[in-house]
Amino acid sequence: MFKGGWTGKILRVDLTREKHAVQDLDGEVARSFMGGRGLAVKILWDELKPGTDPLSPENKLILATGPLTGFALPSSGKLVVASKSPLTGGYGDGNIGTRASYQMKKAGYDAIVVEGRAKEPVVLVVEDSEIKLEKADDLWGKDTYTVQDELEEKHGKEAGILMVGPGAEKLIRFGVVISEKGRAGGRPGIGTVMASKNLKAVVIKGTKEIPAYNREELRELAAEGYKEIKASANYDFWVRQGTMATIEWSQENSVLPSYNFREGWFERADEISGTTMEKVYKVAQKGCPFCNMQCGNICEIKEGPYKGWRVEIDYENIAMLGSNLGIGSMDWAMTLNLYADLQGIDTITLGSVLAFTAELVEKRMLPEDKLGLKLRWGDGEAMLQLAELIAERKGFGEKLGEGVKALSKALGGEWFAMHIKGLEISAYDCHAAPGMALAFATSPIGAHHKDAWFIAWELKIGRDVISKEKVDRLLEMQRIRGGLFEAAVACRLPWIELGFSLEWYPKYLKAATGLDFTLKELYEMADRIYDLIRCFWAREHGGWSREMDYPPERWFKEPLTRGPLAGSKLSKEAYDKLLSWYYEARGWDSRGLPRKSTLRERGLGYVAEQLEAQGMKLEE
Amino acid sequence: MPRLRFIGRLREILGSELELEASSPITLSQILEKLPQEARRLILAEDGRLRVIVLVNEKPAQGLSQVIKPSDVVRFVPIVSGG
Ligand code: SF4
Repeated sequence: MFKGGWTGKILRVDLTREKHAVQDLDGEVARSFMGGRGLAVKILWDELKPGTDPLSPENKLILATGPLTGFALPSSGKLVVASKSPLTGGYGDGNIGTRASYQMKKAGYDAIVVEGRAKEPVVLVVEDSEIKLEKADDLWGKDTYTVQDELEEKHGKEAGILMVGPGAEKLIRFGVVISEKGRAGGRPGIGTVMASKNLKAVVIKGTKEIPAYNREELRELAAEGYKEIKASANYDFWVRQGTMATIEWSQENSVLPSYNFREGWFERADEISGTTMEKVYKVAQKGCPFCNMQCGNICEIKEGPYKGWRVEIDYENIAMLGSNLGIGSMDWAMTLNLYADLQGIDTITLGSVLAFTAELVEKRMLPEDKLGLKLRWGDGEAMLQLAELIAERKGFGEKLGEGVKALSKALGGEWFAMHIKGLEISAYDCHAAPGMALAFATSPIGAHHKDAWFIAWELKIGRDVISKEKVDRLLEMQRIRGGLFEAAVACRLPWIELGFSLEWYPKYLKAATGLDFTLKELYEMADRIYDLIRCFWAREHGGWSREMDYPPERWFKEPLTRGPLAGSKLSKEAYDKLLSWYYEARGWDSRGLPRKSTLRERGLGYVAEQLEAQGMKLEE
Repeated sequence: MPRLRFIGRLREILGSELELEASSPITLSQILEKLPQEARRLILAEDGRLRVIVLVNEKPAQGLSQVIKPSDVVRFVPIVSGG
């Protein structure tokens, strides 16, 4: 049935029984959910028993590519990692630019689904149809740079390698999956799920040719696409600074999170900017496979305990581990970034946990003797010490490893606990950005920028505009970023940063798969995926209420005091209006649950029936 | 004298702020004509579409024919995403 694009096979691995099987990918599922996130949520919905403990052997770890993955096309070297999240209790995923993406396709699989728990630490080795579990006692406990080196030495430089770090092994709730020294994905604890299965790493090598419907046309289209990207007016600047240019951007627009999102403007932003990085720290460039606009900034740390180490940095990490902690030192922000990467823990959540703790201390809600150290804003050394306690789950670090939501429930301060649905907010302050706040709050994995980046569009529409048009634009953006790019599994940055036309993607899909997809159909697919993810959350949480789609109280309660927008804060009334319009536009009811008619329209009638069979009442 | 503010690549070319020699109102497109070619290419696509967000006193510009007053601050904001 498949004419190309997909391999048509899913590798299933059961670590408890030490068995594997190859399953056919259902053609209808591929057409309706495509791959990546779409395929992942479909599998989780169909196969996971409601209420499954995310860290139990029954949870499933899904590594999924899409029909464009593995072809030499602009930025198609990514894969999605997904599971039920131990941090949020809902659906969680993330994408990683890694050789494992094309190696999986070359080995003959669209996805690998892992369940069960190995008796002792193992590495799953996939070489075409040969599947092995190798002992990993010698790798367990080792940092992700060392493991990358050792596995590369054993399996070769071209091998696709995904792994967890020691932090995830200790079941910190925000462990990520790491590849190739610092490429991280799966913020909602997908690395923790992998570690809970005693799976230290997955190594993938393939020798097959990925099937393509029209290889010649694909090659020609790709060449044209690459040319268009390279001709972009902003190309050189992008390659020089990548996402780090956003520090200056966010500062100018008062959205640079500072002091636990108390402010959107930081007095020492220049010291952690893309320009400073370029002048002082950048030593090399890195990118994902098949990308001709590589944005990985490899920098060398100049001072501190990790002096001389190299780390790949980007905007989110430096903002969350710099300005959001009051740190105006690139060396310390990079040191914290490196430490998180070595330990395999999420940099954004780490930044939020450290900031929340600093504020608890400042507000005298957490005595320093309980914490075991003196913690002040801007003190990189103390922040690193605390990060070490978290990664090692020592002393008070044990509690911090549960994330901001759990912490605030235990210690108070929920109004300044900067998370939504349990996932800590990425690096955009929203005191003066109601549309961006809505985007974070309705992002399908919790407050992550992948689906939610709306801020530039909001500036274009007008930040204080409260209108249905704004909500419609947000939906459009979610359909593109969270739907098209996450299901086809391609990098969104050529489109956003360099204006690469979306019209390329239906052409690529046609040449790869032989199937005609219009952009409109791709957006319908995106809506189907969003609906199913929302239903998955509702099923796992036993219902829904609109409070789950609210940003933290801080943005409503406490205005900015610094920068050109001092005095700004969100209005609850305006936010509620936007949220209601959002639900309406999605065909969801006033609680935020998809209506039965909406689900039927998207071919998800069975989902409605299953939710109702569990006692959830859905509106027609 | 409208003030123009730039960030990113535009700041590298033009500096972070530029005060225009214009004592009477001037349109946005007249302002763009005064900028060097390299900067114009970053702001305007060949088909005349704006490639960046233009904010006049923090409000979105209403098009290239918008009249800019001597007291206005015009910001040119590239569309970036940070990841
Ligand atoms: S633009 Fe950056 S993130 Fe996207 S594929 Fe290229 S290197 Fe990877």
